[in-house]
Amino acid sequence: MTGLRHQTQIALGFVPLLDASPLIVAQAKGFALKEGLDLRLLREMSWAALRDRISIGHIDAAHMPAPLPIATTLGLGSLPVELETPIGLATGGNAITVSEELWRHMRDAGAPEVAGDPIACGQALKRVLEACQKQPARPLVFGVVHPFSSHNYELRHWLSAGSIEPDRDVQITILPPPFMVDALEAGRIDGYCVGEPWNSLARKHGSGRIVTTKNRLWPGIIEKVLAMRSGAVDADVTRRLITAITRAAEWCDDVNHREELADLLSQQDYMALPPPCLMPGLTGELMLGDAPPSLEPDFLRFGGSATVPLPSQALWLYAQMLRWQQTSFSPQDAERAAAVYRPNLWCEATGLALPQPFSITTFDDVHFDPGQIQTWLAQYAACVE
Amino acid sequence: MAEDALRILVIDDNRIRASVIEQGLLEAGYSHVTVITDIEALMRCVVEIDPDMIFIDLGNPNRDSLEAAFAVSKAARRPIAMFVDRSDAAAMSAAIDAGVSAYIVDGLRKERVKPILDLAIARFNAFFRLQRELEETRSALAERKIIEKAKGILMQSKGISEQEAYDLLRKQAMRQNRKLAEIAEGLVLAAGLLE
Repeated sequence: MTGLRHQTQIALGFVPLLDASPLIVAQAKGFALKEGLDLRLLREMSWAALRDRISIGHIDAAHMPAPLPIATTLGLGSLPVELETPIGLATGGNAITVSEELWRHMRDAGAPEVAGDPIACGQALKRVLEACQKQPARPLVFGVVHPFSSHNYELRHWLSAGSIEPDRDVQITILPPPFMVDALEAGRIDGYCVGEPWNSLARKHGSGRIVTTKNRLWPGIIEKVLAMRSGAVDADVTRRLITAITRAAEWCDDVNHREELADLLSQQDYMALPPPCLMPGLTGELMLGDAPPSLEPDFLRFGGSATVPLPSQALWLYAQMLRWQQTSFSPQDAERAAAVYRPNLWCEATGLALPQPFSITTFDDVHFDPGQIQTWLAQYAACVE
Repeated sequence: MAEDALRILVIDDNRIRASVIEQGLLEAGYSHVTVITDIEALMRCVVEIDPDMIFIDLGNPNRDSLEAAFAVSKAARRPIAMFVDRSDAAAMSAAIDAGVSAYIVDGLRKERVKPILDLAIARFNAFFRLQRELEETRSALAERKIIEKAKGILMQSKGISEQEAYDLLRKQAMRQNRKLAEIAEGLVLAAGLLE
């Protein structure tokens, strides 16, 4: 094949999670090759390792939680490295799980049998905490995967909507996703917010119950992105990479490919788990609370709007960093945060016009206007005692 | 502060590699070295030891937890991941190649960090070499074992001597241009199926 002579090698880092699918499929199903790209995938077990490798130029691009390239660019939690996001990899995919014991208390406190409703479940948890205060035990501990992850912000948003102050009433700890189920079983944590399959696995082991999902908390909000060091990959290669990943993402969304995708992801190099464990996350057929499996529409999406790196979504994530006091507001930082998500190459590669800024309304019926971050923050500041 | 007073923490769930690094640091005169292999005890140790430098294997899944703990730590001395602008790019690249990542407490001078980092890199590389050699030895042993087994099968089924069995295997290997161990493995497998 003459095309092979012009293959450009691209090294991509990923953490083995369902939302790395578009990258894995771009390589495995030949979408990258069609664009003249020879993708080399490198598996890492921490986001810190991907950040180190990308900073030093060992890899060209990496799978990352959507807030992380913004935090890294702003120098929050690490030394600043300017990153940019040319494409999104997924929306949704996360859920909040609590231990069997906590779930029993929540049920007694009025949580619906068929969980899922974030407000009702949050209120039930609040009543459990109030009862606990009369007979103090250790505070409840919740696990999330990274301080700069949607999981952290979703969990905090959910807790606070139930009038639970995340930094006062509970403890939040950082744990790698594959360790969550074990920690729950050992009683080291009482719940967590993590991507699939780690919620369904806890349910399957009889150690936890899913109380709500990201698609209900934050519908349509970006979950994972591709990150590159600013200016490190040339525009033409980036465009080809975007084309390969958007096609792979569409392939992943096709219901006819779910089983093949589960088989592919189950391999030792990727998730190293049997395909049936991966299916609930891919199909969105989750067991919420005490209920049998039922379909959560748009639980995890790879293609279409999930691929657009919109500056308005970057500002949404920057607003979360402000809300949870990981940084303080400055107009310059807001501008830099928005500029990390760069839709121009996405538009060129897909031939589509830039979509309108995404209108964000969360489960608590609060609307977010990216031009009015302070107004959005003020609504929550008023709720704090 | 004398060189040997620097407090160095090595975190690695691979005990052998951890002690290879510890040994190297001790030999170089750094006497305040602590090794943690049990991740559960990690956070408590970080507070108690208050290290100046931390080495952790790059692929350790607990690195995000570790960094988050630094970030919320009340201590004034917060370790920061080493990056290109902290040290020279070549050293960091070598560290990543070797599979080690380093955190240093802010303010520690570059010239003090460099020899320790170089030492850790060298030790990580030495460990990989050792590991590779060990694997090679292991597979050499396994090969010898399978050839012995194949010879035994031939001797029994054909009623020939050990030397004749060996010659037969070698002739087959040369004819097929394959390794002796591969031919032996095929024979043992086939014999297993016929049992």
